[in-house]
Amino acid sequence: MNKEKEKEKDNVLKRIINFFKNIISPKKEEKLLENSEDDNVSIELRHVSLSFKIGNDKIDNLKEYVIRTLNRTKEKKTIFKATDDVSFKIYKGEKIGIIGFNGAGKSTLLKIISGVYTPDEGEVIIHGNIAPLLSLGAGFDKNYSGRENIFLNGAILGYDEEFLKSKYDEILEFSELGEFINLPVKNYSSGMLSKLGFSIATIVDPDILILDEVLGVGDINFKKKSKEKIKSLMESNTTVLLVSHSIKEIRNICDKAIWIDKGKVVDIGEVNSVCDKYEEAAKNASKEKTKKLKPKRF
Amino acid sequence: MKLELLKKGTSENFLLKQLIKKNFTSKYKDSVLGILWSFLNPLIQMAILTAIFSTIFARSIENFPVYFMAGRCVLDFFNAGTKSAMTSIKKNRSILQKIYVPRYIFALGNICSEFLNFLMTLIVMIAIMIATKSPFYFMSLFAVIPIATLFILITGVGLILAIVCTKFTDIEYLYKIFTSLLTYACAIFYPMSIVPQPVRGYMELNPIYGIIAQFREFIMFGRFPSQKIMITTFVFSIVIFIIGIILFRKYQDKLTLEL
Repeated sequence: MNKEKEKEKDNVLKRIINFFKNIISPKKEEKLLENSEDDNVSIELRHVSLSFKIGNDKIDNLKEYVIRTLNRTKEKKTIFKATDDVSFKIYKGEKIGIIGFNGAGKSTLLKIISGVYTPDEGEVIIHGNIAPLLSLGAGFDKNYSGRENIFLNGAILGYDEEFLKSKYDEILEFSELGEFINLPVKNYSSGMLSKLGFSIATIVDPDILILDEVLGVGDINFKKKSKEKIKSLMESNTTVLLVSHSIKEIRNICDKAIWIDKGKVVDIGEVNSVCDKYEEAAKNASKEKTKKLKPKRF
Repeated sequence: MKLELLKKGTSENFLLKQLIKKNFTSKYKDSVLGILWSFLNPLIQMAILTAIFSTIFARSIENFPVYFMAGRCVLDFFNAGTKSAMTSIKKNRSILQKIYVPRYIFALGNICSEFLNFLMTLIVMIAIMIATKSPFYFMSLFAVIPIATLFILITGVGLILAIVCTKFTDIEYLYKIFTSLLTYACAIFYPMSIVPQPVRGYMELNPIYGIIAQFREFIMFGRFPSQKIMITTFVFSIVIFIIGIILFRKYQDKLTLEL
């Protein structure tokens, strides 16, 4: 009887969700390429632009909004173009490094690719399953035990129930948490939290893996383990997008690199040549800055 | 071969279930009185109001406790559901900034967990019906119709509020005032007949009052309410639902940028 009831509830829920999905987010369906023109393309961006409106005063309540509109003192907002007409194609199995100075727009680009931001213009076309390791432990509920959080976090990442159940033991073993898995997460140390987050996020065999500076979590042992895990993920025909400030890492791991500056693609090509140009530019930029620091003579 | 963006189909289902489970357990985890309180609160109110009002209204309302409880359960669901949907985006901004989840899932999850709460309060109402020897009718099962209308209405209002409240945070406080007004406007503890005519017409336009009235007809008297009231509340709810969806679709992406 119980199973039947559960199935009924499941079906009702499924119907509600499908209904909602079709109404509220039909845009996502457009991204399915039915006639795959370029079967080898993994990620494609066509003229993607994204701007943020930044105002000095954040008007976030109705009272201020009304008063300012009436007084005509509504602040002019600056429009900051975080991503400016970016286009590139990434093929299956390529390992791409994304480099650039701070604030160049690398994380924004990754967020656009993983769907967190929707671009103002342009198209993002993705073939396959994305595992974004942008931040570990999204949505951990502090009062829940580690075990329950595995399911919650896994659900947020997009995995389904049977998959999580079948991989549960693997996750547990990889995270090295042992008995602690049954305790509420608010008791965990930050290292334990990152280990758990990492284990959940990497347990899948994704088609596309996106890494935003997450290679350095945990203690020495775990760092080794995580590097090996990422290597094994990369060995299969997974497309990898890696953002890192360690150029050495990028040269090591990737075969191609994209250099982003001020939201635009400055260069895209073989990893060593792009990295060399980037390091040149970095040297020149710091020379300029130190010039400005020299005291003026009176 | 059709490839999907981010493997979404079946797993949204699972995410919704997980969110509902989370809401439910976090509400009742640390408080012993937790579950008891959701029952005690309406019960105490009912006891007090029955003591005060039941004799005055004895002619128009035969069974004051059930009259009150029916209205109270529905209204509580509406208030709690819309309130939790309203703050859903704000409260989950950290998740939304890091990973793609369908934006409506938090609001929907909250509304569904409030629905489960509602079902629990119905159990209390049934207990009161047994205690006051109110007859049970087969037709009462059709009370599902106004409940379904209510769910649609709550979802519509919830989505609108979610968008508006994320943009203007003080909507939360304005809405609180609105909900307390609603408690008086919906004729929960008095019969509608005491309200003088021009005002009464306007108050009867309130869809929540319509739903409560339908619900009472089914539960207390086992008869179908007038077609007019059923159709008008249903149409009103659908219209609000559609407005909610349109608004949500238009602004959901822009909001994530500003979170």
